[in-house]
Amino acid sequence: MTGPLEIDNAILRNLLMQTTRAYERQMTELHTEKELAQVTLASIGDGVLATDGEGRIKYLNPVAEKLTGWERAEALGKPLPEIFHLSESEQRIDDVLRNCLQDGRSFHLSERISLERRDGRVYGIESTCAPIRASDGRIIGAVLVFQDVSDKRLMALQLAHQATHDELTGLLNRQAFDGHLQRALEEARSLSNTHALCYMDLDQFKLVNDTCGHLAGDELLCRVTALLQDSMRDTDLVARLGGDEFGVLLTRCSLEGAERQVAELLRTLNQFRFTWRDKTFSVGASIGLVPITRDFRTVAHLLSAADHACYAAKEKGRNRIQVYQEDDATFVRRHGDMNWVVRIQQTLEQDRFCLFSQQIQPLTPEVAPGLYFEVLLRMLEDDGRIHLPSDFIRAAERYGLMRLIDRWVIRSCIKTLMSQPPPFLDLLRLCSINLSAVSLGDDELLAFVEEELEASGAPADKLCFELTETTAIESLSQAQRLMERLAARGVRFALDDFGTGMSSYGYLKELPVSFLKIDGKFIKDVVTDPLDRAMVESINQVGHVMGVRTIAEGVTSAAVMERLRLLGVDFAQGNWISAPRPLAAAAMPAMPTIPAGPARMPRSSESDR
Amino acid sequence: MRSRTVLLPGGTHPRDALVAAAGDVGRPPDFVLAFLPPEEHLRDVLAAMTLAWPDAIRVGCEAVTQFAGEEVAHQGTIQLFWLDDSQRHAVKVEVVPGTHGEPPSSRRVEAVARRIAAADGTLLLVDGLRFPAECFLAEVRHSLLGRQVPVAGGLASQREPVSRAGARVFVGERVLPSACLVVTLHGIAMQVEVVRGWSPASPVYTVTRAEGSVVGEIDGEPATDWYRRFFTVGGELAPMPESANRFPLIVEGPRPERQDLYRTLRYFDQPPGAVTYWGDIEVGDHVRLGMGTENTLVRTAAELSAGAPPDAAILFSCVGRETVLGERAGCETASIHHALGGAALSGFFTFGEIGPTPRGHLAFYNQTAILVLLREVGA
Repeated sequence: MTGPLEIDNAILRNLLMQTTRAYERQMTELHTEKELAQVTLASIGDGVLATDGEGRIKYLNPVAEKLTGWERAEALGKPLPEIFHLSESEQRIDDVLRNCLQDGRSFHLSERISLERRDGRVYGIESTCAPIRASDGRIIGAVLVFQDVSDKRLMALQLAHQATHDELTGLLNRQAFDGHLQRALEEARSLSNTHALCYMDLDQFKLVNDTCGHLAGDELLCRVTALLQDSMRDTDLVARLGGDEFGVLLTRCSLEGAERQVAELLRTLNQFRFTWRDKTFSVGASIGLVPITRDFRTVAHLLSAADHACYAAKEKGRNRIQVYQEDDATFVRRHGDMNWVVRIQQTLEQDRFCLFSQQIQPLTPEVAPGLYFEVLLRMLEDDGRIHLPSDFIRAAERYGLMRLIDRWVIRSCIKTLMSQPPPFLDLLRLCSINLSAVSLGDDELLAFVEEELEASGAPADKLCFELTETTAIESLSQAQRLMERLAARGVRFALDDFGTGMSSYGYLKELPVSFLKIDGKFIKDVVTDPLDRAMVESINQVGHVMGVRTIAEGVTSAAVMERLRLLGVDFAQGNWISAPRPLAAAAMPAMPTIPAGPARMPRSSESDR
Repeated sequence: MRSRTVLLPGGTHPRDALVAAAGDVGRPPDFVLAFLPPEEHLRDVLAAMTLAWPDAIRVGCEAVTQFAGEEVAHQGTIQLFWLDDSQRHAVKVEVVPGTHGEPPSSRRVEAVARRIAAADGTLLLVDGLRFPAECFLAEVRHSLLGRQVPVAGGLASQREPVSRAGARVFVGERVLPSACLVVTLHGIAMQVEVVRGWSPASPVYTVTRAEGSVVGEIDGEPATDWYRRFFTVGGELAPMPESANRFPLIVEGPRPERQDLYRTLRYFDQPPGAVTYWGDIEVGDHVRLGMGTENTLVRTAAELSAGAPPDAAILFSCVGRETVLGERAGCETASIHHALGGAALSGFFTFGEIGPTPRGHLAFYNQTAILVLLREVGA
């Protein structure tokens, strides 16, 4: 070992060497980091722009060059506001920069800012401004990071539009329309402004949809939308509220003015012809009109009134305008319906519906002997009173309870049949069950019936479902699908009230129908009225040509029955032949009949089922 | 305030020398500061001081090498203070005992901190071996809540091998092992200067494993290997820790209170792979080696600008500097004495210095010289 001085010198050399190495390593690292930072800055999708402590440009990356329209060489040394120009913004970039440099805080620029490029093009941007500090904490500049969010904002606008507009027609949707109605109601309360609400339901939409398909239905809606928009004032708001339901808010419009305008709309609709391939349809609408007054407490209340007025227009024969009037009769009926809703629900829960049957009498020897009957529905009250369907069907249809009732009838009927002594099923030829229009649109009904048949082991070929002629035609594609699937299992179908719908016989070819039930109004005077006789004869002949059996409804006398027999009608049905009686007694002819009012009622809201 | 430094003549009965040193003032001193060689006639000198100035406040500590004016001595130094106005000027002494190396209780430290904060200046004389000086200082610093008050001092020194009794302090004739004397000055302005003289000589590294004064790793490397990078000469390790005295460790933060602290190497490879310093090192400290020679140390002392000459001065210089200065140990003292215009100066080479960091935090140093300048307020 050498002396202290030499040792110190050697140590100093070591220190120098280590320091040099460390310096070189740090320089390499620094260079690498700088390269990395520059490559990163050049690669990222954000614009990055750095200034010195005076706010003059020191750096901008390629994205910043693109968004500002300034090349780096040109921009260097220029004041930031000259390069980074905010368009129509309350926020000034020089204020933001000054605050950042003075306070040493980061700033997020307001959300709605736009950057105006050098050539005038405007970008929506999001941006933050942050101070750059030296290692001793001094602020030596600022860095501005910004992104082009034009697409994002456009998408947000589109999403907002989608959230408030109907995709097909581009009209306001129900939710957005509710908001406008709310404001209209508030104005009616506070400013006494007069507005009106029009609630419109297209009459032919279902027919077009079913016969020509959804594309045609959509096209019809778009064409009607165009008519609506052309017919209404610029200040009116048109919305699509549901499938074929439209709403129009007529702002600052008296009831009389609204009536005139809506009448004009209806005329326009009636003049319009919708053509799809080789078919042409006329278009009608049932329109409910409501003056928006302070009497309506809520939007729901207002819409309910409009809906009721629209429903009333339908009831009165469709294609008309009904101004809402909260008169006694309407009030009583609406509240009556509501009462029935509760009672129907209770009856279902307590299993107090009961099934009756009415015999169908074969008239020709070609028909196999045995039991033929139609199942009818009754509601049993606690006190023993029995309600006919005409009392409650309208409420059930209006408040969506028919689906439940139909299912109850099917299940109970099959259960009753299967609980009878074995000879009963041998004798049974036909048990006809009414099916509502709602159930035709019930996608799950098919599976339900199949499950019930499967579980009970009931003979499907002894069951028949009755659909009214108009129901089947209005929901042709749905009816077709359901009927074909069930017919494949042996279930048969009858078209009820045939003749009243004045439909084309052509539809019969589309449906697997086994029976035509000729409406009672043609039967009643068949002996005396040649026209009725011709109608019955015609229906009977067409049915037979198509291999379909005919059933005459509402037979009232021996003379009528004899005339039907002469005309070749296959079956007859009516109170004169047999009054309704409990289904369980169908196999026991000796059982007394139930004198429960008229045994047979028309279908739909006044029908017996 | 008047002050005078007395270099003891040696021998067992210095009473006459003491009385003679103070004789021309006409009254006994009010305050006596003594730095006396360990063990040698210690109790005799203390007894002599009692006889000479029974009413004076007498405090001091053991010191192997002492200063008296521009002299460097080993037989003991006494500095006498006469306060002009006992109503306005006062010196108070509090003994803070240490318990088995544990720092005093928090309540005690808080009480001490309150007294320090109330004084115009404070001198701390600490047992250099058995009192946990750094813990105590950290507690005091914490209790001072950022208030910057002049505090300076040193750790008493012992000869190697160090005595089990420690490096003791004394009050009157009481010799106290494992204790700290808190001498508060009232009506006396105290200025503290930290004399360094070391330059950064290596890159900055980070301490990655340390506990107390023992450092296990620097930059993830065993501390001994780290030292070997610099101290291997001709394939052999230079004599340690002596060689490292001229290359002390400089702590450069990052915590504000750990800026510009110096540490002298005490043991190399003890425990194995680790090094031990005369002061604590914390994990995360940024450290580098410094370098200095007797020339740079003396020059720094000579360049000291103390402003107007003080009434008195006390110097606490690190024993590490003594090693570096070698035969020129007296030059630093002489330079400072000269820079102060010949003001009365005492002090000693200490096992650790107490003084402020550049940002005013109370800190424990190695390898510096803490210069205390005293001036009577209103004089």
